[in-house]
Parts: sequence; structure tokens; C-alpha cells
Amino acid sequence: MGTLTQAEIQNVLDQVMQDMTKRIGGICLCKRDTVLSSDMCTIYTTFEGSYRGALILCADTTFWARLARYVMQEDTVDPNDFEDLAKEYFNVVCGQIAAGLYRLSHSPSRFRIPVFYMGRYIPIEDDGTQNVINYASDQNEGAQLIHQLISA
Amino acid sequence: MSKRVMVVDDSRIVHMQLKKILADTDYQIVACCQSGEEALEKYGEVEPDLVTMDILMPGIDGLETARQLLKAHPHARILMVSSLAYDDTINEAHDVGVKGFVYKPFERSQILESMSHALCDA
Repeated sequence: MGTLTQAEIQNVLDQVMQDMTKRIGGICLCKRDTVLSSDMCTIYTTFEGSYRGALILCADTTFWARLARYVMQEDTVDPNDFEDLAKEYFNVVCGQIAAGLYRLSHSPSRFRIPVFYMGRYIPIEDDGTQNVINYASDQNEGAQLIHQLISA
Repeated sequence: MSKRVMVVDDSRIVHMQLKKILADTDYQIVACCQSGEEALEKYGEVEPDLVTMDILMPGIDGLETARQLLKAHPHARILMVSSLAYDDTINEAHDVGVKGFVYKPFERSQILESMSHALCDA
């Protein structure tokens, strides 16, 4: 995508993930290798325009539950609400990523409506060009952000 | 007299957030639509004072919905509420004729201030 390097893209992804997760969900994430539990949910989308790539977030269900409780200001949250919550959270994260990439490249990107899965789901081929950022939350929930550039 | 608001967003979470924010204010949510098509159908029925409009939705996106809504109802007041917060999108929204743009994630004060501004000459 124009003159942006992988490192610049990675930096935008990481900054937005940490900032928005704190702001939307009150959850502090730090970059750290962590073991995801077997109980997790995945949200993903693809970007089009100057940044063509797939972006996937797998995270422990406990992370999504805490995010949902914070956003909805409820003590208990129905797992059926996770999907709506995860989609809206990722919608905001991806919008901020698109804005961050625009500030660097001055070329717009759009993304598709996020898709949610219960469990781990990686909808892109592993051809060795994936970049992964691992996170642990302040309550040791694991999250993994995977992005892959898609050739035109 | 309270101002009537129609919320257009495919996310139930946003409907819920706006209902909480607008409770005990002079705004009353009179309709929640989950798509542009639903908004175009419902606008004439509910005749709101203000529409809050997301951009990224299934089917017609929010910018196109705003364009069609303003063509059919030139006096409609539309406030875009979206995470797509960069110059191209904001400029396009203003070219369409919307009254303002609020970035997600939004704060209560931002929403109320932008709604008030959008309705200031009503």
C-alpha cells in the first residue's frame, strides 16, 4: 500500500488495538506472548482500497465477556450478545485503523462488515506472510491479532 | 417539546447506548432502523426531527442512504455517527448535506452537543 512498510502498519494496528480496547472496554492490553484458552471467539474483516488485507482477532471468551459487561454496564451478559458487541467493537477498531493508515498514506481504505465466529477461525491461507501480535490483558486474558496483506 | 430522533445503525449495541444517553434528555428515540433500506421506508412514517446515521451497514451504506433521504426529504437533518473518521469520508458526508459527524467511540457529551448543533436552526 503506497509507501507504508509492514512496521508502520503493525505500529498502527498495535496502537489502535491498545487505545480502543482501553477506551471502549476499560481493558489494558500489553504485547506479550500468551497461551490462548480453548474457549475463544474470533472476529474478522477484510480491508479494501489502498490497504488490502485481512484482519483477525481471536480472544479468550472471558475477554469478550468482560468487554460486553463494561460496554453494556451490566453484571451479567448473555453470550448471545457477544456477537453484536464484538462486531461493534471491531467496527470501531477497524475504523480507527483505517483512519490511522489514511493519516500516513493519504489514501483511503474501507473494510467489510466484521464476521464473528465462536471458536478459533482463521479464514486466510497460511502462506507465511501473516503477522501476529499477541496480547495479554490486565486480567491475563489472551488475544491474538493476525493480519495479512492481500495481493491485488 | 422533545425532539424526535431516528437511529439508523445495524448494531443493537449502538441502539442501546443511544437509548441510555438520551434517556432523561429532551430527545426521544422514535425509531431504530438496522439498515438504510429500513430508514428510507420508515422516515416518512415517523417524520423525525433528526436522524443519526452509521455508514458501514449491510445493503445501502449510510452515505448513500443520506443522499437518497435528502433527495426525497430535503429538510431532513442527518448526523453521521461512524468509526470511518478520515477526511475523505467526512468531506463526502458534508457534500451529501449532513449536519455533522460524530466519531465512534463517542462520549455522551459529544453526541448531545452534535445533536444540539444539528438542530440549532430548526
